Amino acid sequence: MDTIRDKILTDIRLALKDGVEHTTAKPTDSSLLFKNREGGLVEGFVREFLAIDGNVIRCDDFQQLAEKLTELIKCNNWKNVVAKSAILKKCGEQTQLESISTVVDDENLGRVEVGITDCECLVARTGTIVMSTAQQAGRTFPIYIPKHIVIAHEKQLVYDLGEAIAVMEQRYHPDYPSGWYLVSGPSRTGDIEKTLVLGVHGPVEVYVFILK
Amino acid sequence: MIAVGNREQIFLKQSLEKSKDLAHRQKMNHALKQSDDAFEKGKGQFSDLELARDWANAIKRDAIMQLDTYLCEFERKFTSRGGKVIWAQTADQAVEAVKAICSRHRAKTVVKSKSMVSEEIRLNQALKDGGVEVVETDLGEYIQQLADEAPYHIVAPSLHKSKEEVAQLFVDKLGTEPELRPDQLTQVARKVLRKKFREAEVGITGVNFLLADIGGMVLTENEGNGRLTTGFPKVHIALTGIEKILPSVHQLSLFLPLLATHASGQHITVYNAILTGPRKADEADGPEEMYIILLDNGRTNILADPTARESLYCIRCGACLNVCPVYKNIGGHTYDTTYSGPIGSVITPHLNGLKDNKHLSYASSLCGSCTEVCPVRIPLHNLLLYNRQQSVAAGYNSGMEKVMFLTWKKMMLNRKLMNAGSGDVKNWVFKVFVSKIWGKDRELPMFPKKNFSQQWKARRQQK
Repeated sequence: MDTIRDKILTDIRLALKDGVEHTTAKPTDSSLLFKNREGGLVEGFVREFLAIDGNVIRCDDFQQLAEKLTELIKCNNWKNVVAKSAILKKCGEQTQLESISTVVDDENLGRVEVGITDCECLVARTGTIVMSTAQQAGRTFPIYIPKHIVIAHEKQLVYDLGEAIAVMEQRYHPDYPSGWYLVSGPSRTGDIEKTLVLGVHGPVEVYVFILK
Repeated sequence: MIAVGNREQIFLKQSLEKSKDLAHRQKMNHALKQSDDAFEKGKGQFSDLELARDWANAIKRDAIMQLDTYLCEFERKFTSRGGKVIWAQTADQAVEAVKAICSRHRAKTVVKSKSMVSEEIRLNQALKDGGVEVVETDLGEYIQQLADEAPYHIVAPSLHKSKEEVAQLFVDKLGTEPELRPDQLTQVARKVLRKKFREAEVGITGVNFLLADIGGMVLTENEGNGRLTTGFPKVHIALTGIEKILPSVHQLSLFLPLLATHASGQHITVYNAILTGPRKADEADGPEEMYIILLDNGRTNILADPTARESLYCIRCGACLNVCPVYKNIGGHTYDTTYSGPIGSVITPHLNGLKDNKHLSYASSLCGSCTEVCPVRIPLHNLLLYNRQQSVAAGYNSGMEKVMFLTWKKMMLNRKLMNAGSGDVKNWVFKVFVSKIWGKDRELPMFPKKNFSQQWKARRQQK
């Protein structure tokens, strides 16, 4: 028997003997509390994501995705690009993609310059990428890489966090992934004199490709 | 500095020193002005912030009023996925639990992301004494660890240091080039800590919210160190007070923006991780074991008091510190408590004893800025007043104070006594008896030659 557990629970129950008020109002729809911005989901996401120092690139189809991605990699002279993305794999089957590696072992993780991943969904109101450990990128890869590229379909966009949480619940209940990650822009800090610095421990640059 | 006297005397002495320290004031004003500006901008995301605070208050009220039910639900769901829950009634029990896990895994290095509960239980020192290297990974906490100081603020640990001071600290402790800029200093820390994340056997974090309905926890941060701390090490230990519970994961759609706006003026913090257990069989990576330590350490005392209970709604955003004129002037270390500022002054007497901490409740002008800003509507300045009442009821006020209030009461209830003595006499009495308490840095108010009653009569006769 766990006696400490029982003692604490007994203390809580004793403490709550007096003056307990139960609330009748249990609010649910939190989207009512936030300002509703004009425009569509894609426009909303782009606006918010740019405001938090992210980058968005829109593409009409796989062909364009391959072209724009190749161009981005070339422009920046990125050498070590690793993809853990189902969407990109599909894209690669249909188009000519620059050689992007899909495997990386522990030893070489530190040498990866750019990582490409999928996401569960995108949240327009806050410019948030939702990922989880149910996806192949796992826990450490998307946070250890210096630059992060996310590939998403337009239909993966939702308006608010509440909807994103509902998506996760519908998709996985009750067998949830061990980690759900909400990511809103590049890693940042203001710990030294409130000076904004990007790229503390996580990626310093984050790109989202949105496919029509 | 060797401090002499009891906690109250030391507090008063250091408050006096800090409030006269102009360099300190300049740094605090600079930092807190930035917080103010960011908050003003961040709250623009709400169409109705007042309603949002009402709802947050209602949700936390529900959570606290059924704390036992929600904690049990959390435990059942979390353990069903392989996570382990450890209950701790005292700081010592929590420390022992962490030490036992570390020694079982022969941990040499532990990486930590920010946790105020770990400060509360003095975990770092205990682990260090046991020969374990403890590395703080939040940049602000890392700076504080290098300086061998406690956090200055519950959200911004190194708020009181100028960039020059941080640069010098890095020169002294890490042997870097002198006069590095904040972005360069950050890169130094990144490089040092990236190695540590991969070496460490155990990762220790705090908890921003416990989620009853899915049996999980939330970790909120901007840097990514929390994600790495819960990613690489094979064991994850999370420390939390029992009050951090939310009934449902769905309530995060309100609480994450509310916390971000009040803590740092953002719409949402960069990284929010919802963790529901150790790595699953089909997942790429993650810890093999995950523990959540539920700490009481005096919280059930607060719960047992229907008035003080509301202080358990706190989500540790730090907004009450940012707006507090006392915090701004005396700084975080003067409190000499784990939790500083208004919320610290409210809960510390209940957690660590009224007698030794009652003075904190008196260190307030009762201006109410804290109550006005609190995202979960804790009536902070009322609770400070409540602590004072309790302290008087327990007989902890001084004999001098009792005499003064008795005299005051007698005089106020008697017109003759109130009018007795000329202005000069009153000024003399004040100079002799009050000037010492008033302090030499403030001008003593002067009584006019004629008292109010005389002035009033004269004025009416003129008409």
